[in-house]
Parts: sequence; C-alpha cells; structure tokens
Amino acid sequence: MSSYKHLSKAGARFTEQFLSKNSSVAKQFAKYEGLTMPEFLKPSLPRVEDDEKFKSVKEWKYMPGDRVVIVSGKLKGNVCAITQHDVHTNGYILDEHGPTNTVPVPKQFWQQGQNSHMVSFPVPVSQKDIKLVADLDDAETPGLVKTVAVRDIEFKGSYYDADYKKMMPYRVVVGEEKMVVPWPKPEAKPDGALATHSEIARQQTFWVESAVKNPVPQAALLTLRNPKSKYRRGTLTAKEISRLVAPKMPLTEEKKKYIQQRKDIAALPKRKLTDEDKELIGDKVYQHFKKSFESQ
Amino acid sequence: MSKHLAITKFRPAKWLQKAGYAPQVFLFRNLESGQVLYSQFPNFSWKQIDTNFQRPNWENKKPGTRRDIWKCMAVVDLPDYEKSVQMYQNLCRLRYLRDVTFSKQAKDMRKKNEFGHTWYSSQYRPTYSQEAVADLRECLLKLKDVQKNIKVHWEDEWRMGDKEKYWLPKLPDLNHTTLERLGNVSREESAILKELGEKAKQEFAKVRQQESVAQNISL
Amino acid sequence: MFPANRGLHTSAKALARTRFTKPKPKPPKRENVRLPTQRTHHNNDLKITAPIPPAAANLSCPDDHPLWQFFSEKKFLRTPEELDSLSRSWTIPELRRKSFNDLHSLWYTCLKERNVLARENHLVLFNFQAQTEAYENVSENIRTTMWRIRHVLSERDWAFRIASENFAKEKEAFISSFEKDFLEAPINEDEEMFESLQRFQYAVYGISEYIDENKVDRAFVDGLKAVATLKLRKFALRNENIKTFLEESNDAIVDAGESFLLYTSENTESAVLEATNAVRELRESGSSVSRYDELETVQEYMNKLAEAQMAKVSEAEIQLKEETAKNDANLL
Repeated sequence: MSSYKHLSKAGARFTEQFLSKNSSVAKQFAKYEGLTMPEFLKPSLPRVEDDEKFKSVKEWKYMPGDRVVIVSGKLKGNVCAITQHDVHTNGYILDEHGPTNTVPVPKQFWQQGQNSHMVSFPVPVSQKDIKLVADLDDAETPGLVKTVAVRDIEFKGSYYDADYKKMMPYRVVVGEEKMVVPWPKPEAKPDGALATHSEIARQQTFWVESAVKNPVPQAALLTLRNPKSKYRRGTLTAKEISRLVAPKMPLTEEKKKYIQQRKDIAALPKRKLTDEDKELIGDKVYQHFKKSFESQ
Repeated sequence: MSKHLAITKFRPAKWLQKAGYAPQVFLFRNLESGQVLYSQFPNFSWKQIDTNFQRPNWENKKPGTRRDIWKCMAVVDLPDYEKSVQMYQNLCRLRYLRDVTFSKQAKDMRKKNEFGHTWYSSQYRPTYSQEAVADLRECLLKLKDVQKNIKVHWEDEWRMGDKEKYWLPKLPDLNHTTLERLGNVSREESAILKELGEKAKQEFAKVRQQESVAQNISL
Repeated sequence: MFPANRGLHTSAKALARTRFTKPKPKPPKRENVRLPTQRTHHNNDLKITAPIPPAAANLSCPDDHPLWQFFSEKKFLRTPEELDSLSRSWTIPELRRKSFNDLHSLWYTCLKERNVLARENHLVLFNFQAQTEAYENVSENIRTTMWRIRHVLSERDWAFRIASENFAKEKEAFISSFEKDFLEAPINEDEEMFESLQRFQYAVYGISEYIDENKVDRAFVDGLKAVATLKLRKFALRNENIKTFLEESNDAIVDAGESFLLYTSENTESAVLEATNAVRELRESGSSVSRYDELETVQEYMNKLAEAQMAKVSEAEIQLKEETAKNDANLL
C-alpha cells in the first residue's frame, strides 16, 4: 500500500463514500469481518463511525475514575471504576470487577512475562449497561453520605475545571438540580511539549496603530487567500455549469410522439358547459325519472 | 584527454599516455541494480560492459549504457601508466573469477534472502558494489609497495567500508579522499572527473621531473 | 574395410622429397626490436574475498545539519506515548491578540512540527505497518492552529480595509479635534503631546518613527506638510518670530523641502526657530521643490537621513569599542 493518503486529502471523499456504512463494500467487509477475524482481535462492541464517536464530556457522561454499577448481563450489580474510554466503540473499560473475555492469543503477540496462550482482556461496556454510583448527602440523616446509583444525569451550567483545564458542565441528578455529582479528578499529567505557557498565550502583541498601514504585509496576502478562488469569483465557468446541470436525456420516437400529443391536447380550447347543454342534460334526467315513475 | 575517441578496445599504457589520459582507473556504479563497471577511462561504452559482465543471468543482468544511472563510485590515481593498466587487468580478472571460475564461492559469500537468492530489493542488489570494493582492495594489496603514491577518490566515505577493519591494518599509507559532492550530478560528473584527471596528470609530470632532477644530481 | 596400409590421396605428396633438404639458416639477430606494446598481465594469485559492506561509522553528521529539523530531539521515532496528545490548538481569540511577527513564527513552528510528524507517520505506516492515529491526531491539531492563523490574518486584513474606508469619512473631524487638543495643551504637557503627535502621524499618515519602515508616497508627503504646519502653529503661540513666519507662509507649509526641514527639527522652540531661519534662507535663495518631484526628492532626503543615522551609529560603536579596549587595557 504505497499511497500518499496520509499526506494529502486528494481523493479522500471518494474513499469515504466507498467505505461509508451503507456502501456495498462496507457491508461485504462487515459480513466477513466476524468470520475471518481471530477471536483475540474481535471487538466485543461494534465499532462506530467517525461521526458517531463520542467527542464531548456531555456525550461520554462518565469519565475515567467514575464509579459505576453494571445493570445488565452476567455481572449485574457489580460496582466498578472506569479505567478508560474506548473511543472506537464508544465503550467504557472497567477495572477488574468488570466483564472480561479470555481468549487464546498466538505466540507472536505474547507480551513479556506471558506464559499461557489464554489471556483475559477487559471488555468494553456500552453506556446503557451502566449507571453512575455517587455519594450524596443523606436527606434523612444529615451529615452522613449515602452511596446511591443514579438513574440518569443531566448537565446544568458550566465552570472552569482546573484539573481538566477546560470548561466543564455541572453534572446533576436528573430532576434534582441541587444534587451535583462532581467529576472525578483525573490523574495529573505534565504539560505537553507543544504547550505554550498561558501567560505567553494571553500576552497581547497586536495593537491597531494606523489607518493607513496594513497590519498584514502585502507579500503575505497571497498566501492567506486565493484571490482567484472560485468561491470569491461569483461566476461559474462553462465547465462548472456542465457539471451542475444534468445532461438532456435522448428521447425515443414514441416518447416524442406522446409528448407532442399531450401538447396538442393541452392546446385544444377548453370546453365549457353552456346553458343549452345544461338544459339538455336536465331535460334528459327529467325524462328518465318521469319514465321510471310512470312505470311504477 | 586531448582526444575524444570512442572506447572500442583495451588500451595499453603507452597509448593512454599519448592520448592524454591520466594514470587512473575508474569504477562506475549502476544506481538501479548496484552493479559496478571498471574502466580505464573517465567514461565507458558497450565494450566495458561486455568485458565486465560475461555471464549475465537473472540476478546479474547485463546493464545498459544509460549515463544517468551510472555514477562514478571510485577513482584510483596510480603512480604510473603501467600500474594503472595492470590494475584494470586485475579488476577485470577478479570480476571474471567471481562470475565464472569461482561463481559458487562468490555466491556463498553473498547475503541471501529467505529463498536463498542474493538479497535484493526490487532491481537493486547491494552486494555487487560491496564486492567491487573488496576487489579493489585485493588489487591495491598487490600494489602494497607503492601505496604511498596511490590515491583513492571515493564517492562517499561510507562506501569504503570499515576503515579500521579493512584498510588501516594492511594498507595504512594509502591515501583516501572523497569526490567533490557539490554539483556532482550526472550532467556535471564528466567535468569533475576531467578535473581529477588533470590533477593526476600534473602530479605524474611533477614526479617525473623530480626523478629526472634526482638522476641529474646523482650524475 | 580399408587395409591399414592405405594412404590418403595427399600422402604421397606430403611424403615426397622437396628440393631443399637442409633447414634454412636462422635469420641474424635484429638490433632494434620493438618490444610488444602490451607487456603487463594480471596477477595470477588473485583471490576473491568477501564483500566489504559500507560503514556508517565513517560518516559524521554535524549537529546543525538542516535535516535534523525533521527529527524531534534527534530521535528516529517517537512512540505514541511521547507525543503531545494533551495540548489543544490555539483558539481564534487567542491568536487575535498576536502580532503578525508572532503569528508568522508560530506558523513556522507548526509547520516544522508537522514535518516531523509526517516523517514519523510515514515510517510507522510503511515500515512498521502500525497504527498511526496518534501521529495523525497531533498533526490535525496543529493543522487547526495553522488554518486559524490564516483566518485571523485574513480577518485582520478585511478589518483594516473596511476601517480605512470608513475612516476616510471621519478623517477631517478627527484631525481637527486632535489639532485642537494639541494646540491648547499647556507648556508642561509638551512631552506627552509630542508623543501623541508621533502616534497621530503614524495613525493618519503612516509616518513611522523608524526611518527604514517608511515608504515615501503621497500620503507620507502630505503628512510631512501637515505635521510641519502643526508644529509651527504650536510654537507660533509662544514665539513672535515663528508667528510672523507662519503668517508669511499663509498659515501652511506647502513645499516638501521646507516641511522636511521643519519636520526633522527637534521639538523645542529654539530648534524650530532655527529651522524657520533656515527655511527663510532657502526661500531667499529661491530654491523650492516642485510638486512633481516631491516624492523623489523626499525619498532622497530620507536616504540621506538614514545614512547619517547609520554613520552616527557606527561612530558610536567605534567609540564604544575604543572605550572597552581602553578599559581592558587598564584592567590588564
């Protein structure tokens, strides 16, 4: 596979359509994936499309470090902690109390220190199979906390979370606005190598100084935007028009005749019911009823 | 190189001197296949390809004369024309031994792939240029006594192999340099080789003059 | 079968006796025999040896080799864990605060990092056939920063264009209000007022305090004249001589040479008076700059000014060197 797809997006749209969920190729692939994939590589949850993947915390609802209770399956009732998110399946990987799958692994995939073919892997669990476990203040005995499973959560407002280093919504028990379930504290990680110090990032170095001198040098403008861009041009070229307009279908002789016939009929003057016609009809109806009454 | 003659045959020492060539031997490397060509001249023709590739097979195909895929791998400056001719003969002889007489032994020494063929990637077999380096070393060992007056111009220091292992123990006084890399593209290569030839000729003339002076003094 | 003693038809001829039975005498030894032209021969004890592989140890790479820019800290390949997957892209509001130079350098920093990532991605994809998601995600984050930089700069350009269009309508009012403030300010606020004049001239006429940043065009020359007039008007309130000079020149400086002279004079009463005297001399000698040659002439003046400044700077440098040399000598 010597392509440059990883460097360029040329032709990416075709590939995307080709491999999209509803294409025949994707269906064929999905059909044989389950049959041909070895057990240890099979995902227990179905993979999700890129646009269905969870991205925000509101979609995930539970973050690593949260305690959850399993509500369905063999391990129903087990309380476990979430260790990580499985982004490919929108699943949650739980700690040792969660479900695991023991499968044989071929020797070339053995980890260091492994001495058996059978390995237990944690199985990702989907969102509907778990409920959040929270410590809430007990209303009956004030001062004590009660550990409960929360039916569902919703999000109200937002605040800056210093641990996550971003704006996070408040997580509250559904219907109970005052019962805030705090987010778990993530493990502290050092700033990345590419990170800029916040003070430097906030420092202002641009000031509007002149109404005559452009703050952007003339030479830079050509690299900022394409002055000949087709989106800026405002007119369509002949080639673009030909792409946008569907070609005219060639018609058969019969079809042409039919269309002509329809046209001729449409061109005929419309008939109108005149008073004489109405009288004639009324007379006919009258005669008919009269005849039938007389016969009775 | 006062005369530009098509290379049609083997040329003896006197001829080379008269025609204005320098006492040099040239090694050209095929960029596509890795094969190496020996030449008495700073260029080559079908003649050299015929003499150097006598037993072509699927692994060692007879290369073409496309000048853009032949690149100078090394130039050897020798003290006199006789030695340059002999060196060329030795190189050709070694190639013959490798391809014909001891082809089996030569094959044994090559790196193989999983199917027991000479290792390759596409058309390229690196072993040929490595063998050429080994052959060049073997020929230089025969000229051990005059190694001080021999200079090898490599295309790259990388190409000569481990200096400590192959060159310093047996040929400690041999001079190594690298060819000028700036502008050494296929179009400009001949100019670089020509300049090298001129320099070698000047060196040769200088040594002759010194010798004659020394003779005069002794008289 | 043929009998054994039969001969061929040529046998008799071959066996027949010829005329000369004695062998010919050997030719005499020749004196000047030409040796064969080719006398060398390959050695007979040549041996084929094992191929000599090339050695990378012979090569040394300088630390400042330009291709090192395609490596992160001279590492061949970073593992996905070593990548910075936590950082986010710069946001547009953050980028809006940054000057063109900052954005320009940030762009190239991003570009270099993307080059490193593209190299690693290529390696992982083709040589190790492994997952490249981590590399692609970081690269995508950086790409986001890059398009945002372009967006911010483009936005800035549009903003400038629209603003300068609108400013044309309000220019007169703005200039007159500034003039009012400038002229009415008391003497103790002079320093501040002249600083604000500097900002004003940059904002309205594009006259920068740095000589080499300036481009001499119509707006620049008009600015020079306006600023020179303003300066005269400021000091005319304090000095009778300057006032009469201003009246002589109909309350406005229209000559580019004169305005340049007044503009470059220092912002003090005495310096401006001196400049007015010089201008008077110029007028008496009848030298003036034609309106058609204004741009070229002012450009020449600017070049001279720049040269003079460079000479000053280099002089100062030489002095500084001499002083340091003296100090060193003293120390020794």
